[in-house]
Amino acid sequence: MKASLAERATLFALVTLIVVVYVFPYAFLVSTSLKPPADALAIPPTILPQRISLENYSNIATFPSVRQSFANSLTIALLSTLITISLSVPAAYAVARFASMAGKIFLIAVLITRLIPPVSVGIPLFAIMRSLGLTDTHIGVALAHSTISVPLAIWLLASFMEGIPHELEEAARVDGCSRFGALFRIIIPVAAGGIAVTSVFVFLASWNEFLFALLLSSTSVKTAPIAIAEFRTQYGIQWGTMTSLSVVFSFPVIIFSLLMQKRIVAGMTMGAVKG
Amino acid sequence: MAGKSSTRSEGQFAVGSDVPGKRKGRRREYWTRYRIMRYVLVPWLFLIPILALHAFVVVFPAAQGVFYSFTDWRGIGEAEYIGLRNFEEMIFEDQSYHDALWRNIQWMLFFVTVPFAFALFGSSLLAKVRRGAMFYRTALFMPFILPSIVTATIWRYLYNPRFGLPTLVGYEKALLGQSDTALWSIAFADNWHFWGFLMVLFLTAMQGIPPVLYDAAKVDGANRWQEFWHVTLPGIRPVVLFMLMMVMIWAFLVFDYIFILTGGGPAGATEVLGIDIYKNAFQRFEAGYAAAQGISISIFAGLIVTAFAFLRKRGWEI
Repeated sequence: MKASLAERATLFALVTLIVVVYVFPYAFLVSTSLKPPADALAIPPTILPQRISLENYSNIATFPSVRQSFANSLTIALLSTLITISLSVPAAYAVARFASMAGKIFLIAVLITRLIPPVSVGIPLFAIMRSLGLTDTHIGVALAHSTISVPLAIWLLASFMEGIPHELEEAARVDGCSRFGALFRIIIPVAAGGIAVTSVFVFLASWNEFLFALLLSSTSVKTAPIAIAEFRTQYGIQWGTMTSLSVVFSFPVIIFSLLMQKRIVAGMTMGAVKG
Repeated sequence: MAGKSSTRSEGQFAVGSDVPGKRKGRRREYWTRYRIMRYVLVPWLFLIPILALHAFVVVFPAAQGVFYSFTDWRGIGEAEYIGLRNFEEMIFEDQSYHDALWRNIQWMLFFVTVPFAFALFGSSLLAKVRRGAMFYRTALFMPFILPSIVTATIWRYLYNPRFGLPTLVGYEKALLGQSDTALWSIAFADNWHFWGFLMVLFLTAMQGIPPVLYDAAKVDGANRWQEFWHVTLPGIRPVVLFMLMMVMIWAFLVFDYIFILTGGGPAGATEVLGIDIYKNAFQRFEAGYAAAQGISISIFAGLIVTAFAFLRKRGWEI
């Protein structure tokens, strides 16, 4: 049954209103970051900047430690992606191709992991990392981040690999290719797109992560979220710079989610329901 | 699904390529060893690297956490076994633990109601939208992917008592600075980030409901509300119940938003278990006690899962 025109118009108006109200906080953040620093503190605040200024963005350069924290975030996220993907690809292959036993054990491990609060894993983990000299190193934080993203990575990769016809591998194996060979020569090239998508998720998970970064990085490898969170206490609240930092930090997230709308939504929701 | 088809492919191999002997005895022996290799050893070879990492970063620390919960460990140096002393203190003496637990329960009550109401309303509206559906969906989903630090910064600014949102309606007090409003204000900010995610989940589930059911409801003269209550809600029930379970568990793990926005203040008004544990472990140097508190969270989470598993056994399709 077709809805009447009036009904559709009401629906459209309502949904648009919700989206506008919903997106407003982020839009306001961007708008504030584009105001000259003094205007950011105007009472009452204006929704749109009266004058556009990039001063808040150029101000970021005057805080070398904050700039360094962005580099740290990038290094850690890339390292974490590298570790997670290189370990998850074989695991996902096992889940996708072999009898379900290993997959079941893995699933149970993931479920149990979800019941352990990160903060309480963090306490002994901090001690372990310290005894190995891994606190305040990029690799230490990246390792911790990897465990967060591994379940999602394996689920995503396994679902991509299940879509690859068995015949491809069989042909290779008849020609004398081993299981490992088949993984490297057939599966990985064919699933390259899926691996790229998964890498983006893993990257973002590490980029966004707060708690482990807080626990495991004290000074030299501090990530951007921690630096931004501490920014207020160190220099007082400079709203202009705070907002521009947040906009810059959310930039990769926004870009990726616009570029791969469908996949992001599907991937994020799958991780929650299946895991 | 994968298991079944790989058995088929493996059968083809056995016949077509690499069955070595023709004599029956050898063949049987070969099969046993082959099967052990095929089904037991090879899958593990692929899983070992990831399991090693998991053991190093999750299982081992978690096991150590259990050990430390029975000690007076200070986060560094020797840990002395003190039996159940930590747990006794937690259950019978520590008022701040009880208060923190109560805040987590309030947090849970907020998150099993408000985001679910938002998400059910939003998804049943969006389910009817055809044109631009993906745009709306992405717009409402975006905050879920935003880093917690960004969301927290946005709301810290919006809650500002001098020029933030509350001043528009003449309310010039700090929402985050007063004991009676702080926790709910943080919950609202977290909800802004969270409910779009729930909505997309519900929306996906709604697309799986056969349209025939809606037609039947129409024929029976059901109004919108009845349609929602008798067709939509039962149709997405498994997802709703599963997410209720997850949200209840997550309510005990909350940390980021509170830490960034108030750090547990003002005067401990937003000190939930996560913050209390963090402070005990890293500021008050009572890591053994903090480990015991962490275990209590795992126990609560385990109880929630058990309760849902029990209900499922009793026929509640989850």
